[in-house]
Amino acid sequence: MNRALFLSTVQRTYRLFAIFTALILFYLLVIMGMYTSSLETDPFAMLPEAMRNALGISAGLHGMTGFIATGFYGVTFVVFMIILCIIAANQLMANLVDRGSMAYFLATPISRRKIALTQAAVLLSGLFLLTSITTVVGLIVGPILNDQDDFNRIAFIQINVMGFLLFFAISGYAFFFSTLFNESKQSLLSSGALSVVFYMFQLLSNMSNDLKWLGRFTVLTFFKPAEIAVGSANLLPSIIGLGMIGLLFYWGAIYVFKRRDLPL
Amino acid sequence: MIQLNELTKTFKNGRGIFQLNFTVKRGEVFGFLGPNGAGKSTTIRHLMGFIKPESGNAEINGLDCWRESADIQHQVGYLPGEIAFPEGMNGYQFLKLLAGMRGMKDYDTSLDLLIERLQFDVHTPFRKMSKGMKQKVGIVAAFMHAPTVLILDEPTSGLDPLMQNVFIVLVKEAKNAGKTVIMSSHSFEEINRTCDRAGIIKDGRIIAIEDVQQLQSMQRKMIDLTLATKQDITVIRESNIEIVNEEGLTIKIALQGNYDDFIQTLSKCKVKNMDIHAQKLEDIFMHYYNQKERMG
Repeated sequence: MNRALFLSTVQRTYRLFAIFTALILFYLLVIMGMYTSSLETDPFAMLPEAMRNALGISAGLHGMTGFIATGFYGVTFVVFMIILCIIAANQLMANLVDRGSMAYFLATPISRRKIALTQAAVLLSGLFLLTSITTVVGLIVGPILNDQDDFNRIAFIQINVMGFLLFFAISGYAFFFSTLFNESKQSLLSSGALSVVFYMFQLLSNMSNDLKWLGRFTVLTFFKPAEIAVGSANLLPSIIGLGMIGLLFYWGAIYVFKRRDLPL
Repeated sequence: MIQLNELTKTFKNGRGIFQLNFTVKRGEVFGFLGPNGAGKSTTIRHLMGFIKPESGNAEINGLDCWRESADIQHQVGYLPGEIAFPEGMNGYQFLKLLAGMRGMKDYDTSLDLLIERLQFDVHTPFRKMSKGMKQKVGIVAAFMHAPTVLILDEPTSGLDPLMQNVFIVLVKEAKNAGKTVIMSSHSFEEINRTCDRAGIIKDGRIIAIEDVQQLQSMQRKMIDLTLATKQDITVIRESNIEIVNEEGLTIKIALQGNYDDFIQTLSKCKVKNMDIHAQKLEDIFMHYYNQKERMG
């Protein structure tokens, strides 16, 4: 870790994180607001069974937390965060190599390993801060918008912790591709394509029992907000799974970046 | 000191650099000359540790350029050939970042001195900078930590003639302070004014390492002459002067050192027009290269 580089990178990327934090907070609050106003009816009831399954709503709505878990953490949160991870990871490494400004950083006594670690630290700090802010705001605003007193704080915190871990894993492969390729285009395309594939596997595996096995080949399988809300999720395997995937890819990213030829 | 030992790197397309060997001594300014794609930048990238040699190695002050690339940077100032700064910063923020990454504490004085000499507004955002201005930021970045080794890739591209002079003074000062400098260039003029020795690279191989003075004497002057009569052309043909081309009453001749001979011969002719051009650096290479091949 290098302090000067860390601060400068934060300065160059905080806007991106701020925009996504604002977007995510906005959606979270809107969904929370919707819960109170539609207390009597299940807004997803009108959806066909197959689509409900695909979106992971089958676990059923369980109080406000269940409502947020399916209505927000099930799809919107995941999609926004995947986009953020891909853009941010690309900016932190591949973009610098693509543009050539990485040459100046490597011309200082900071090793490649330290540069990659510092950039990864910025990415993870950003994601951590985003999920922390979301959690705190949710915990404060949730009870205010909810007059039924069925907001399960513990489950809400668990969902966010698992959400952060999910994005530890996803940012891991996005960062890996960002260190692997010389061009932004390639890095964005690879992590984008892999994310779409993961998402499709998740949808298909939820949709039909014949395709259930596809769930084993996507990281999203470890994130089950609706089940956490109902209290039926077994968190430990997910924590280990996501942690391992994230660590492996971040380690791989640094390993690759230390050893490869850079076209600078 | 910079040392290359059988440095080799082959790229997928078959190009690359092959068994480069040369040494740049302490206090020496070494010019690295060659046409585009000859391997100048590839060599410099090896010195900076951006790419790994296929075989052989490069060393700076006794440290291996690939394995110990981070340590080497304490002593190296680098000016990249292509200027690309991170987006969304201004020159000062960027230089401050590099100073921070180098662990420098008091950098404002040395920054101010360099900025004053190069005369530019360091607080301009990069997106508003001209090419020359960016080049100046790059030069400050290369010199500000008083490195003992300077690696400069096409250093004066984008600079106006006045600033080229300032730059040449900077390099001369570095040389007098006992620093080791390697600079790549297309411009014979630039090499001529700063370098002690020059290496010529072509197709990834060093074809000559010469004293700059020696190289200078190889530079030929091309002269277009328009003469009054065919008789005048015969006079020149009968002298020792090399005629490269003939078109009606206009001939192109090549001179290399034999200026007096030329004047004596011309005094016997009636000259209607005369145009002199110095030979392009690339032509000197080609001429030199061909001569070497012929001599075998």
